[in-house]
Amino acid sequence: MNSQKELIIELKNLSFFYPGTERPVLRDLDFKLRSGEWVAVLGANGSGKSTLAKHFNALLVPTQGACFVYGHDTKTDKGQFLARKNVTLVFQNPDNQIVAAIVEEDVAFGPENLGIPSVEIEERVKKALKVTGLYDVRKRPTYTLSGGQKQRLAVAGAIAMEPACMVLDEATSMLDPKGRKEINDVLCKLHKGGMTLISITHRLEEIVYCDRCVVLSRGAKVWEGTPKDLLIMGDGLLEWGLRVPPLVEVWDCLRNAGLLSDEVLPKIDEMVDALCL
Amino acid sequence: MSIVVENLVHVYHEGTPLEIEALKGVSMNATPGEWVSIVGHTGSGKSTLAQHLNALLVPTRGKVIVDDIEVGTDSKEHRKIRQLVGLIFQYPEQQLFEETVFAEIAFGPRNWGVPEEEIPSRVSEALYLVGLDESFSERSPFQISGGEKRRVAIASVLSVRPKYLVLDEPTAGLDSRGKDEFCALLEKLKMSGTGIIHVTHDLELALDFSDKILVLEDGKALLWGSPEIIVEELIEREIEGLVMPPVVELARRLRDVGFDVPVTWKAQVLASAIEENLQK
Repeated sequence: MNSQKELIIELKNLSFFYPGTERPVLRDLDFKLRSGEWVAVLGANGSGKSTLAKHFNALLVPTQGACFVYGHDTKTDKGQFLARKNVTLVFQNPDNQIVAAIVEEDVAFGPENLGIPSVEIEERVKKALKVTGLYDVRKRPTYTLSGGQKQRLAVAGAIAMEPACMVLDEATSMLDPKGRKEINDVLCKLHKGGMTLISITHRLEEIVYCDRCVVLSRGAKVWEGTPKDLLIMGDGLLEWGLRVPPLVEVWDCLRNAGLLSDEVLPKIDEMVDALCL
Repeated sequence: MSIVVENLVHVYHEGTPLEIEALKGVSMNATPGEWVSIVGHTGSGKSTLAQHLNALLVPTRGKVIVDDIEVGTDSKEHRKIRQLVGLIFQYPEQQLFEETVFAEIAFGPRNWGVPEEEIPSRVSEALYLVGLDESFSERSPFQISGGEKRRVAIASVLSVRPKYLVLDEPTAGLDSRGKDEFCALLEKLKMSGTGIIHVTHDLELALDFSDKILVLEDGKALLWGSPEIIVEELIEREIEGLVMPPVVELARRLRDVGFDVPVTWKAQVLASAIEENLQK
């Protein structure tokens, strides 16, 4: 579908062992990410998701096989440079990712490090703060922010680097439901604006907006396809340590009863509209 | 026998410029064999309330009574309360410190003066309750998986045989399988007569398992009752920081457009009600 779009990341038969261990954490993975896509990587605790995330920007390099960013192997200097420049990671714990005392200074930290002219930094910071809805709190000390705001700040810092692709490793798992919703709203906005995204998560609620899902189990890719095809698997997902959220259960029952057509996704708005017809 | 909280007020740093009233007159109760959830947004006072339940904090005003012992009247009695009420903080695996799982779990009962010959059976019992086999005894608590660590941390509280267990966000960071297993464990403890007091911001989880729910907002008890009562009330008003479970939200939206469906968080119940409506 996206074959004409530019290839950003490509994994070929990637396997990874932590030094001194014999069990592979990642096994023989193949994966392609094209510009503008939003891909969810799903799996239970210990399935290898976070180890995979670290390969995308060359924090780790494969033991076997290869990871290419814009066609360059991340084991080469050129490949590592491209990976670090173009792929930004956002982690689980917002407190570990904030470096400055004031909100707008924290967002400026990344581009300052890249040696961007200060006029442009100002522009980038303003843009990143607006997208993440933090513009009004830009002068506040970072420690006064809520968990959701802090994580949006981490995302803003990543946006200001203007990466080609952003990887979010369980970026919502330490947040409360309100904070989770805030982050998801920001991601939807970024996706609409053309940003390439990888969400690493075990929450199936969060995948309905993605284009494609990849499921990892014990380090291997066991499934790949659209969110809808994944969600209709129902209890079959338990085998991989994933569970269908209750709203999807309702959606699935109604589909099976022939009350919802194939086009309707398990989103409240779409379901209400479809049922009212 | 029960835990009773009456008009509990807690003021931090009273009489200083930093004075904050964290709890503003909260009442609730919990009995052994009951699962009570305390739900609220970050900063609503949940953790302050939890710490009152085993006398880590003493009321500024109002009362906390644990099995007829009132917190704050005689600090010698607090020892008894701490034996009755086990408190498990968020990410309890971060508090592990012993060399072996056995020593970790034995630490509590040894500290309470349980005779040494009784210790092995206390450890076995606690391991069994959290679903770990005896082979874990001699392993290091630092070389087991995250989920196993959390179980060991909980076993180290269960080995004291508390009558009530207060847990602050015990499922944070667990995946859905881990969460399911953990809730099944708490349910087992509840069935065997332990009172479960579960502090969480996961309303969906609280609705699924609790006998009673207390919704806190800004230090005040906003709602108190069965899950059924709580959802009925919740659709009437927005509560800062509490996101409605999506199934309840769907039910509410459908009622607004004229569907005759119950306010429920149960997927099957809502799905059949929608089907019935559309068949009419």
